[in-house]
Amino acid sequence: MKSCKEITEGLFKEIHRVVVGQDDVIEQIFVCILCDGNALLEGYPGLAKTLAIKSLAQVMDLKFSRIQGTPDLMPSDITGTNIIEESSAGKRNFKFQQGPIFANIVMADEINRATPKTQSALLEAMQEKQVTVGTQTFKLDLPFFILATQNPIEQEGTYPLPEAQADRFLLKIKVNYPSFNEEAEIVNMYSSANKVQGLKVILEKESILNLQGLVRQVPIANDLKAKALKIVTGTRNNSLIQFGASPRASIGIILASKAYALIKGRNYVSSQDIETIAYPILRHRIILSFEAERKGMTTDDAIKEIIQKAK
Amino acid sequence: MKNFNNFIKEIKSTLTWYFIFNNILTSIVIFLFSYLVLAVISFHAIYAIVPSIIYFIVSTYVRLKENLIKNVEKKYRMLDEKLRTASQYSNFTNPIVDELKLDVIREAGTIRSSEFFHTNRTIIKIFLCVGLSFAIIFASLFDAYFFNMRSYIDDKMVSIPNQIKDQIRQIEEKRKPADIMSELFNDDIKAGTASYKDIYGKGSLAKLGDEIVNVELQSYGYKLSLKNEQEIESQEFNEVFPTEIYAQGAGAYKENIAKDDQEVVKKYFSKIARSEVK
Repeated sequence: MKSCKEITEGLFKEIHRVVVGQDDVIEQIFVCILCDGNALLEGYPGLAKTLAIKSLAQVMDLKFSRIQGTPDLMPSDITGTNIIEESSAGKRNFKFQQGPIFANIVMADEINRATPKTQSALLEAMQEKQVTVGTQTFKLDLPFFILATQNPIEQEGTYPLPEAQADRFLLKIKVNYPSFNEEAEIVNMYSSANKVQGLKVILEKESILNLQGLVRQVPIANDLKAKALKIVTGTRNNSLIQFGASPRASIGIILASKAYALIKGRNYVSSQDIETIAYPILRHRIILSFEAERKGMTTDDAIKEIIQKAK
Repeated sequence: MKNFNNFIKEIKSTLTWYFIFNNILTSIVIFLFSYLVLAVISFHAIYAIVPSIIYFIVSTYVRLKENLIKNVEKKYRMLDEKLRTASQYSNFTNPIVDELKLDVIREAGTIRSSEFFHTNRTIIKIFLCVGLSFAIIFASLFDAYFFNMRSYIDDKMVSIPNQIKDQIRQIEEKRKPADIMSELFNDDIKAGTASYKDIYGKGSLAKLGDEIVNVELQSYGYKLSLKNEQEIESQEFNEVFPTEIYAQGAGAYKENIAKDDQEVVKKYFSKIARSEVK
């Protein structure tokens, strides 16, 4: 566990050479990677979402690709397509050209701008870790991680992810504005003549796969497990919530708590881990009722109330 | 991990024994207190065992249902959540769980079993036992009591049935059985079809059954009281034995056999005796 903590501390230290602040965001993205899940990122433009995920890919020596969601984006633009290739002998044959999905970390920027058909192609890769083109199925290289982003403003002309699809994302990470001091540091870093050096590789691909296996071995006490389940089931039959979370959320909260404990260098899950991770686990899986919206509550407020009841 | 399993077993058994010892001591205090209370109200003191047994059973059940590990975690915050997680995974083995168990064993070195033993409370309970025991002895020695519950109950047990019987007797005296019977069979009597006399036999016999038999049961008991000691009174006993004592053969045993016949019988038996010797 000491070595795990040292690795994660080294990782975050290296990323913070280019990304100022956003500690929670980087932590949660790393939790998602360790849980072999996918994340939904929501934040205003210019908050270093792409930079953070790109930096993470660099320090983990993973292949990174970016897909910009537009209304005219086709599924083949994501998965790849067969192209005609002419050999030197003049023979023509089809060759499969891999799409940007064939990477370890894929950033689907503004996924809500893509059409539902394109979204489904991405979701298939997310779920099955494979891509089907025609009659051929291609396995994706592990570890595979999709970070989909959504812009909370400019909702015109978008295709919001249906709740059933949003449920497949392990976490929904909120990116907030940096603090004043952090912004001052950003300005100093990026408006000066000093160029930011390249990032060192801290974690290898094999190490990440080992860590993913290690996460599942982290023990959790039965009463804490019950508390986690109480939080998830508390979203059902609640006056503030119209539709509650599914059992996928229960699996997610336990797994993510284990990963969170591992990142913090602990060899057991604490109740604080569960309470911290409950927010990103549940906020995209619940729909507030009219009563909650009338009170001006957010999903985080509803989750906070449920956590208080579960104590 | 054998060491860890042994460690958990040791914690659980030590705490369990502490709880049981504590419960036994408290039950003894309750028993002595109840005994004293029953003694001063002069009631059957053996019933004092009832509240102490009830307390012992209930408190032991409640204590054993408690999570002993959580009690340790409450005292030692650095083991909070860690100890119970490790104990629940005591039969599992993987690198993380093994490391957790090692951490717990290392940190548990600071656990002292004396932390769970409330010395002050135990001393107070022991003193209470001693004090109550002396109080009981003195109460018995000087026969001190505030209220005689036993005789009060006995009186009530006698008087209440007597009151009920008196009332029944009054009711029945007002209505004699013959009147009751005639009421029941009034119509039949008028119609000439009454045959209750035949069914119930002779009326004189039936009347015997109407007599109320008074049975009074009086409680028997004695109480040795040192208070009522007094000098022994000299008593004169009347002689009931006759002045002359003599024996007389009972008439039934007298034989009126003729002398000649007596000789015949003697000769017969002597012949039998001679033949046996041969």
